[in-house]
Amino acid sequence: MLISTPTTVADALFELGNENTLAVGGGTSIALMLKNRLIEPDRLVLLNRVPTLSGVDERSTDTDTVRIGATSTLLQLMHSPLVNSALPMLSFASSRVGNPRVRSVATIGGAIVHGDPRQDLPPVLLALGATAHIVGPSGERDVPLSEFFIGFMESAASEDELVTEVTVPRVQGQRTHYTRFTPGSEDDYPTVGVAIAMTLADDRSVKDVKIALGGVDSTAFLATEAAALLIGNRPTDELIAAAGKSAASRANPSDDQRGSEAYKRAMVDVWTRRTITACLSD
Amino acid sequence: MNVKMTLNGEPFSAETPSDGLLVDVLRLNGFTGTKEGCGVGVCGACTVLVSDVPVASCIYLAALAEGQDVWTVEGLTEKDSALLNAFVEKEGMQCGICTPGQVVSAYALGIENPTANEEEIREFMAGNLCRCTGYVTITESVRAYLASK
Amino acid sequence: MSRVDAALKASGHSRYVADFAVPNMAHAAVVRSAMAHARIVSIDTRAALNCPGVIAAFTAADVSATPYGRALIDTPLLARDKVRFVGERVAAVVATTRQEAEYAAAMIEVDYEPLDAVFSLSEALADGAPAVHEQPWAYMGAAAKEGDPINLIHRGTHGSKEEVDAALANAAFVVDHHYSTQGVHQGYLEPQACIADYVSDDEVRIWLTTKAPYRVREMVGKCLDIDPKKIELAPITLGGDFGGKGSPQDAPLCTELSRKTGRPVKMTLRYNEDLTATNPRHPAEIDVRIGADKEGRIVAASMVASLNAGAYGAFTPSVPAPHGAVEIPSYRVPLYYSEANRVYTNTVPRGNMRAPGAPQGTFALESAMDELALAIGIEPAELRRRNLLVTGEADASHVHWIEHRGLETLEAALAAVVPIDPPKGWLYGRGIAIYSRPTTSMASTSLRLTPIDDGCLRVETPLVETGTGSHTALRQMLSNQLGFAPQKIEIVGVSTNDLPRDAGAGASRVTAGLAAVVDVAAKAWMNRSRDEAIVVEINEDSGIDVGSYTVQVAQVAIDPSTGQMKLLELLNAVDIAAIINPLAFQMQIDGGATMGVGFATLEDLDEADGQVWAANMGEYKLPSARDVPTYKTVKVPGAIGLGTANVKNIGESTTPPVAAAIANAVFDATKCRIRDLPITAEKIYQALKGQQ
Repeated sequence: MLISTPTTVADALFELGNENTLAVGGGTSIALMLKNRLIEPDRLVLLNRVPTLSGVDERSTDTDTVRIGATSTLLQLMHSPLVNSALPMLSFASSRVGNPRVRSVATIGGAIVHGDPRQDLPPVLLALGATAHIVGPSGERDVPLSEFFIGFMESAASEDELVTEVTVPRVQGQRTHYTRFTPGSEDDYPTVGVAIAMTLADDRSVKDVKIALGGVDSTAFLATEAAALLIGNRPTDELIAAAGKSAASRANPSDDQRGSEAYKRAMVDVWTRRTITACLSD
Repeated sequence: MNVKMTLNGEPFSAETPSDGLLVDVLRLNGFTGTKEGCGVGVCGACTVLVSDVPVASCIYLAALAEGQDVWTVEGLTEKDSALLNAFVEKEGMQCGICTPGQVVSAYALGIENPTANEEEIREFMAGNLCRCTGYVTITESVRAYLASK
Repeated sequence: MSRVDAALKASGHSRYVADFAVPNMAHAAVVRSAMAHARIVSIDTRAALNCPGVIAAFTAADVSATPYGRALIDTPLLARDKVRFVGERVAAVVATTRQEAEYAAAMIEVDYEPLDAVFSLSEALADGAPAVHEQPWAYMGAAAKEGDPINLIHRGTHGSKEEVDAALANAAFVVDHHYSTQGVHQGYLEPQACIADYVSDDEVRIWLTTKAPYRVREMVGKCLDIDPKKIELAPITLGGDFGGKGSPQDAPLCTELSRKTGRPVKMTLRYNEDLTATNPRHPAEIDVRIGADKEGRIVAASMVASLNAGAYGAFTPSVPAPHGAVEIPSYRVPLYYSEANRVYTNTVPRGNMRAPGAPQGTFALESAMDELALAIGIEPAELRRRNLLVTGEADASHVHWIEHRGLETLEAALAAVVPIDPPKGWLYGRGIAIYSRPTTSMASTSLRLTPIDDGCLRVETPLVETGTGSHTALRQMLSNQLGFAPQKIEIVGVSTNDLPRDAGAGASRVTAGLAAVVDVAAKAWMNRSRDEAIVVEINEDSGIDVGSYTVQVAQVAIDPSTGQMKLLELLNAVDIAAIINPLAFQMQIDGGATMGVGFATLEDLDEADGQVWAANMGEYKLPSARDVPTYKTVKVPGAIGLGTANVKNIGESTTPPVAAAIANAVFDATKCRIRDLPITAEKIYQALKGQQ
């Protein structure tokens, strides 16, 4: 197996154009798959030496968007002054992922490209309305995350493409809350993850809201119907209850060690309601 | 392939298969202080420091370690006697197999958040499993270490 | 002074088996069965033999056909003719590196003809069930007889079922419930590992992750027809045992591979192999019936347990009833019937794990006691008060302990509990559970004491330090009785060649065994004629039955909307004699309770269709530092211990009662009774919904 260590995006793309080649961010998912003989690549392209892929653009004067390099680690997100002030839900979620070792090396790009529906960052980024910037042999494109998670362990970026950046809109007065429900061991994937970003109008009706769920389908997803129930309305107990039910009916969870399908569905209802309420509390 | 790094402050190079893991590079070249437990990055017995952050060496490709500043339990306890003393005095171990990982993580916490309170210590160290002690003496060892800084 | 091994362990300089290498060493990897029960039609090793670095490949035809085991000798080195569980060793590859061996092993093709399999106890015991072993009575050491149910390894009974049935029929109050517990693993963080160096029939050296080296050399010797005294188990540091490292593990196979290849052979298991194919705890199904009179005094009780022993019974405990899962050591039970069935199934073979049988049995018994209290209409603690044994009384199996301190330990526990407020909106519950256990009075070990320069003493011991601090306790006891300051005593672990005996760590015998040998050593030291080394050994049963009580009080909070449970506090009241090393003692209490928390709420091998599905630590959840409750310890001193050191066991005392303490607390909070482990949020949620 060959190892490539490009220092520019162009070089990285060139290497990725080879047959049976995989890109490596923090490498934890790849290392596990190699150990279990689930993959047998001919080449790995390490991205850790491409400086333009890494880091949060702290000095950006753009007040509308936060730009995050794809190989930024969760630890960097936790410590980024900009992410902490503009996107506290993201820095919070990053700090809850796994353990310090994981956070040292796991990247935001890896988190979305790997496509594991149990992970924390995908629903958080979905709720924040993030976009993935993809570069490949046929050019560049922006893919909103709502179109990025196309299936179980499958993303919109193909094997010869690179996600170079994740951009997240900065929204004035946005209220966010991420709930990671771990009824068993705290050191585990969540049974249900609920990420909500909401803005209220002056009359405290919901101007906009995104409700994203993790761990309860083959991908993280937006509960758009649940959100639609709230938009334009005052979030009464009845409406919140209806949103919870709607999110639960949209969910498609599987039985596993973290819960049965029925239990997870019931928990989607409970935690969607509770997370909405958390967003609303001042 | 050959991988080169700074290991415990000294230049180090070793041969490794290209899909080799850092834990094997270390253990096969005399640095057996780093242990392999669960092999999937969960238990923390394999924790080493790579450029000032804790890393699970059992799922860290050796190739990623190229050119980095790597520290193992042997090097860190030699460099920082307060670290060793804290775990010895508070007896933060029983069988000792998780201890190297606990020690390296404690050192990493000292870099990340040297004024961590009880809750923050527990949060940070929770990624290092122990089957023997019930965690009380480990937390006390970490607290004693941070207090010494 | 800190423990003898603290600096070595904290600096990474302690050497465990996987850390060793010997010259010219080769590496082995094993091919494991993918089938639960199947005839082996053929094994094709050709592709493996062509892989880089491969020295040889082996199937059953190439290795010794003699099985091995402890009492029951039924385990083959490699599966012969058929496989009996998913994960059974079918073939082995030896290569120049571990990676090469594993790569080649994956290339071996095995052709199977599936056979009907049995996975559950009821399936295995049903009429006409497929036989896991065709002639189980034919094995050396078998308790099974021709004509028994084909998959029954052993049925032990105590007492008269008819008498108990009659007494229960006439009792004022009776409870009759079924409890079940799941498969769990010892969870030591050090995977099993072995290096075997066969030089000749007169010289074999083994490094093994074992806590019972003398037992291992016997078993390897018998299996491979080598004089056990020519097999040397090298001294090692052990990375946790908890009962799972008492078998010879892969030492017989590695020794045979070394013999066949002419090189030392090392094999280190990957953790998924350890989790799925070594020797975890027996899942159990237990029926408990207890009857009481109008005054709430027990008149009779019955415990019937079936333990799933898996595909081989070699390391399944076969002590006679009523031990392990069907013990009632703490209460006055005038009439008692117990039955313990150990059953073959096509699942991973089971072994010992901290207090074998007791976590399962105590969950059932102490849950049933609370259910009886409810039926009578008295507080759970009051039912205990009326039935705990007092000094002078015999327990349910007619055994007399030197004293019973359950009542004072119960009162101490209750007096120390400080209620904790649950989070807002959560339900609060409190539960108790009691467990007692004897310190083994059998002592069998040896020491060599050698005076060295500067008034120091070098002490050699073949006892393996499994982590409990046994070497440190030894140093302290010798210091107390021989008059050397602890820092003048050096404790050195030595091989089985260097000293005559040791029974192996475990079975609540270590500290008392050391106390007994230190007593002998002290006398010998006083009486020595010259200033040279002396060897002492002991191999005797003092016959004194000393027991220890543990009373646990669990406080829990439950979120009624989700079933999520927070363990607010677990209080351990322990009845103690002398404590040799307070920190190590405390860690046994906390560590033991943590293992109980895992058993009660988190750990589950998730067995289905004969397979272990929780095959790595991402799925098999050991309690982390965030999962443990606050531990409060109440010591009740003044007990009688063994030896001059006046010691009792603690290591297996705090694991068994946890599940019942929590189940009883959950009932207190929710009025839901959960009778199967682990107690999960989902089970609580469903139970609460069922109530509405």
